[in-house]
Amino acid sequence: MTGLSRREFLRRAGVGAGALGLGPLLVACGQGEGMPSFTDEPSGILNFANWPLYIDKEKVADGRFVRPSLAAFTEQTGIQVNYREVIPDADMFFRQIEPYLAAGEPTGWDIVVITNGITLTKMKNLGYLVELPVGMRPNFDAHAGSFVRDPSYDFGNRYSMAWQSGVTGIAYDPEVTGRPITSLGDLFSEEFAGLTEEDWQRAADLLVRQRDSGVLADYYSANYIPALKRGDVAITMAWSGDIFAAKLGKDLPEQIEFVVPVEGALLWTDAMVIPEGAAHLADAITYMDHVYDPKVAAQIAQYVNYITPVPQAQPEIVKMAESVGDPQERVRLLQVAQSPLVFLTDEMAANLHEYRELATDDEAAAWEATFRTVFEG
Amino acid sequence: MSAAAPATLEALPKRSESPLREPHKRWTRFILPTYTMAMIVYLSIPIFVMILYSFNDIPGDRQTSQFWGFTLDWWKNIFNIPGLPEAFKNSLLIAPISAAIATALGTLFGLALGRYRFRGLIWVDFVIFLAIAVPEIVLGSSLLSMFVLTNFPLGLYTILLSHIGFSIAFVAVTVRARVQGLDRNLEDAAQDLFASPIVSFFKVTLPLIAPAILAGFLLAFVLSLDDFVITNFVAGQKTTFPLWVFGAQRIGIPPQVNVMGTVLFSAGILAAITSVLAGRRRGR
Repeated sequence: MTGLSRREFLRRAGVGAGALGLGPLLVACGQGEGMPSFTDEPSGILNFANWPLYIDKEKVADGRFVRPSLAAFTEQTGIQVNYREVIPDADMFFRQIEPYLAAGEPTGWDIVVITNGITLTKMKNLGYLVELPVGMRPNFDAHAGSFVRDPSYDFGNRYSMAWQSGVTGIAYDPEVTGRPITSLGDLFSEEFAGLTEEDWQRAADLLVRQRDSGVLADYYSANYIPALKRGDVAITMAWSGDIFAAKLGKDLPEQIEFVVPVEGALLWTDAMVIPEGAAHLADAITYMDHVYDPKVAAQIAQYVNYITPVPQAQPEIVKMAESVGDPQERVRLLQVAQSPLVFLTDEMAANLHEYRELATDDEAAAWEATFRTVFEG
Repeated sequence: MSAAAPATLEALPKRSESPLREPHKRWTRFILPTYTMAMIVYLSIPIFVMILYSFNDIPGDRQTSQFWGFTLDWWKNIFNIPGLPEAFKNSLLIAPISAAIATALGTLFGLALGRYRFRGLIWVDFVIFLAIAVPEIVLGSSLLSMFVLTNFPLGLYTILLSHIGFSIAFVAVTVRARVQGLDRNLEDAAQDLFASPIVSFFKVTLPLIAPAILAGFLLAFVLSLDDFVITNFVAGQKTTFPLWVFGAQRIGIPPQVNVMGTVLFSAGILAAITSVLAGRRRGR
């Protein structure tokens, strides 16, 4: 489907609506006067849709809470960021903006953050994403980590730049397992099934579910953290940021380890993309490249605790730690800087796989049909 | 449901005072109260957990499954999460307005349906039923298509319109049930005493159906407050409390969510008690 036929469809829809007396509401739709471009002067406005709690915050002197990295961006560039935490889920958010995209109308957003996967691929394939100007992102070219460059879902980063990433690996309690865990095979090993006798059934249930599903069973709900803590499960598949945040929040004992299994682990990425119809392209690309400045990336990573796409943010966080007065805060920042769950070690990075891209709708439907029974069963 | 149960229980002893009933009380009279209490406890346990965890003295700033001890920090810093207060405010702004408008429209609907026979009554009835029975996701996506087609910008107004839309039917059914149970002779008597139709409506009918109107209002209020699916489609750049919490779940829910949940629950309880008390007073 091309943009032209979509516009044609809309014009017809407009005629129909006009007959119903709705004409005045349809003024100026489908008209492309003064198309925005990346090379324009920034307009000073940026509409940014993100997930809740996905950017740094800080208390300022008068007791208000602000988002320091956004405030600094506005100060530097004069671009006001209309930052909204409106994405509860990538697919649900897409459903909301899809009718606009399909009608060739602006969604109202200049940057949206979508997880790589079916939704992102669909948006790309339907032509709903604006192609990024490859020459206009010096920070990205200089500082982006290898694991977010040329991802399988978007070769050449033509449409997307990573916001934050995470790894689905294995978390385990060495005191219970008695040995280091290295492989996915360990997840299904009988040896760990009956460790705490009274919890055997629950643990077994979890493991059985894992075996049945093959890869993912109950992870989205983060149910495994309490289970891991109680010792119900000795090992489990886990999201890196969850485990790190839980350890930091003392929700998990110190000894819990997170590993990337020898078979490799899945890397997922929440990517910034520009939806078709965005009005402030120059502002958008300015911001998307801005967050690849290691200082900015450090500011965001120390709060979010998922994997930052900028490995060079690590020394910046150490610098932040050195300059901070509060000893507790210093320890926390150093913990973040040293965590392999925020900054991937080389061997971890070498062993990561991306979600396989489901290239066609048919393939996506087949994938959903196969795994839905596992999630819902 | 649970709020209505105690009212039924209170009505029981009154009836047993009648001379026809045997005064001798058997052990079986404990079955219903025990069952009711058990159900109330069962239904409220999750709520009490939510309230308890609003006092959880966690070391970080994301809710954990472990209870660390008692603190009032989250209550003192209820607005310390950027984004959350705005979402909460939006919910609290939309809920009463949409409930008030839906109540006004739904009450008239309920009166017409309960009182008069007219051509097309069956169809109106059917539409009301449909509005309640249609899956939210269908309603949400059709509303969105409509707003897109008419170029209506998404935001608080579209959330408000949608919430009014799906709440009207609930108010209408509640009011209709009360109207059908009314004794028409009361209105006739008023008019026999030379009250004009308008006066008899305000002096007789309206006070009699007031508890149903209040119940309908509360229902609409609560429906608006916790709607997720439809709101998700029509929210545009705005976000509401349920939408925000759903999204925050991925990163970790801040304990302020528990605090706000507790505040909402307390407000709901107060409203329910008001409604029951009002209902009892009018019922006499």
